[in-house]
Amino acid sequence: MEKMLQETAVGTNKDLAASTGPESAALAAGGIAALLAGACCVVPFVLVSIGVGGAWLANLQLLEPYRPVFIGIAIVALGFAGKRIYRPAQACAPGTACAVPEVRRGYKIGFWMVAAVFLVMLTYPYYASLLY
Amino acid sequence: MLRNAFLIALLAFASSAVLAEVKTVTLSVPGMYCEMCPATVKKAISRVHGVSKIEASFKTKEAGLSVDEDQTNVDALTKATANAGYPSTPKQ
Repeated sequence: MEKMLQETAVGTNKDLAASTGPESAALAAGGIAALLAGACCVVPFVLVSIGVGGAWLANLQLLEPYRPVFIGIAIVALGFAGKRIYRPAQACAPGTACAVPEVRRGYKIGFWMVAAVFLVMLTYPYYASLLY
Repeated sequence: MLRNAFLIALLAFASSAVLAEVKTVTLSVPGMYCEMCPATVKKAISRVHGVSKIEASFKTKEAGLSVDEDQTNVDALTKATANAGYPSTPKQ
């Protein structure tokens, strides 16, 4: 019985590599929205710092007026992802992606990475002056 | 003694020549509309060889810098800022 359970867990793990739960989708959406929120300003700085340049960077400025929108999307996506990722494991249906411990840990790491990127993009007006 | 005087004269000449090559340039960068922009502009300019003492201002939308004219020119500077997304023009 225990062996069977293990096999099921392994099987689920394999399937997970290809499948994505709503948590992944929410994290991806949050990450993209966070990057777009900083596209006008932080992204060019990072690109120029690593040596990627081009006049096209000026186009990113067009995204600046939509910054509040992207910030809102990122907050909603991160909130949704956080709620799902940090809910008790019992709430997951057995056998689904969210019930596997490794996946849960991966989601948590992903969540905090996206949250960190979001914070960097959100707070740039406050730390920008330290960079020049 | 005479040789020393000659060396001193040579050194004085050489150092004045070095000083003469360094010029202060002010670039007008009207596109610096956000708090982060001067940081990006400064970074872009600092990648040009022969540039030192860069000061980018968000308030005045200008970037001041010292440039060694033997190593670079104003064209390279405006090109560098344009490549970071901020076209600039030299200010007289």
